[in-house]
Amino acid sequence: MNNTQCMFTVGVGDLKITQAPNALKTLLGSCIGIILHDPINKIGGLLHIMLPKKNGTDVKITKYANTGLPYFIHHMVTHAGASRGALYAKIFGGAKMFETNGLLNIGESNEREVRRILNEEGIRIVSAKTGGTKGYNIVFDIDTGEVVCRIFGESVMVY
Amino acid sequence: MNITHDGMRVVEIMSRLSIDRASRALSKTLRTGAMISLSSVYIADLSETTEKMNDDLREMTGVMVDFKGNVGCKLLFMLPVNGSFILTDLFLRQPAGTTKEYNEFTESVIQELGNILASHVSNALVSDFDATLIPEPPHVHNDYAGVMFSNLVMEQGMMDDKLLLMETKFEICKNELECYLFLVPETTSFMKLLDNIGVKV
Amino acid sequence: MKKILIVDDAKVIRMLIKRLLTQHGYQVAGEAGNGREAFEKYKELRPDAVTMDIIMPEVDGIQGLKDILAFDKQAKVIIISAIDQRDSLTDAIRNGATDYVVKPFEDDRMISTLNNIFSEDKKDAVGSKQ
Repeated sequence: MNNTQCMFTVGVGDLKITQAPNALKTLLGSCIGIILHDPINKIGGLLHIMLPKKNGTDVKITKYANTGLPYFIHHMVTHAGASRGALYAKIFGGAKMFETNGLLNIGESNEREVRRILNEEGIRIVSAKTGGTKGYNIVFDIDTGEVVCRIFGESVMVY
Repeated sequence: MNITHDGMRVVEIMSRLSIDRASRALSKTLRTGAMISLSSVYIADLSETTEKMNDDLREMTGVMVDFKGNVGCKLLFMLPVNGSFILTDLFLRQPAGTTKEYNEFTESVIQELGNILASHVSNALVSDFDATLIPEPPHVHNDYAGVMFSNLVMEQGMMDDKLLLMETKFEICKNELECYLFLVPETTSFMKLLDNIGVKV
Repeated sequence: MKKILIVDDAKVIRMLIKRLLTQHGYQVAGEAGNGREAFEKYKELRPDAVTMDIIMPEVDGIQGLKDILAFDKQAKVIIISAIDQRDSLTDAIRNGATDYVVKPFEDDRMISTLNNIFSEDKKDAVGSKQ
């Protein structure tokens, strides 16, 4: 990642799309980070979803897999200039952290919904690192498509 | 979520009173001067606030507490893992430096401190503002600071894109031990509580 | 020597109470981490008194108190909790708690609470002989 020009951070429930030589990073607990990459046009994005399905009255659609992911794909192609056919995905996160009320297995449900939508959209998942009980720190290099992933307490892996 | 200037002033008073109560309980527990003070109360955008915290890769030990009652709320107390060794020695009345690694005692001390802080925060809100609020058993976790913070705000973020956050700073044994205590009330029920006590929100 | 059952989900609190009680001439009959374990241990160990936390996982201290009192009407259960609220206090008293100590507590407060409940026993015994 030595040639990275700008590193952008993606917050919870947010989406960022950029191009090479930039990079995107985020921290994930039970949330899922979905990376879409067009390796030909060197365009990539990172969506940080919190929940599988939108059912509240809040307005931020990128918090949810069922609203955020179709929006992400659409934006990559129509606004950022990515080629639909070239897109592939990588997914990370979905840990089971504090076992407090209401959040049991939210990571698993998030992952299931993300996989279902990507499958429906015909986008291939080329790598995934999900589950566990600890947080994920991921850095996505748009130029190479590589994702450096460090799970708390574990050694760094590249996907 | 919107809140009037007057409403915010009352939230600050409520936060300060409950933090004061928690601070006295912490001093008594650790048998040393411990002061927690409110550093800010603010409304934050879910993505923006987590984006800022996202860069925080420090290894922390944290305790998360949910509350049940007529006001939904979450509390997170976290500190760097080696800071938890200092609290363990104070709690167990051992000479400083006795605890050298994270173990079951450290975990249990952090768990109990979470319980004491959460209980005394709820005691203040119940006695002073007519809330019904009881903490649930605390959960201890070690992770990146940013991940723990995201987890704290996530549940509230399911309902609203904006959050009401109360942030504090600590002084223990006259040293600024880097500890963080966050309170995130569930907006709808918290607004109702303010309304019940006659505050225009 | 009076035997006490210590109930708290925090290991370190059980440890501190155990240290305090043994320093003051009490014997620790056993330890439990929630209300269910407390009830099981009570039946097995038949202690002279129980120190019982409220907020615990699975089965809380109020339920533990109810179960113990339903099994043994004479049981002495002292609630030791950081919850200092009228509703919790009345709930504990209504369900038969002998006393209520708020955490964090002074060592003296804890010991005098235990000493009191056993000295009341002695008074009752003297009263019944007369």
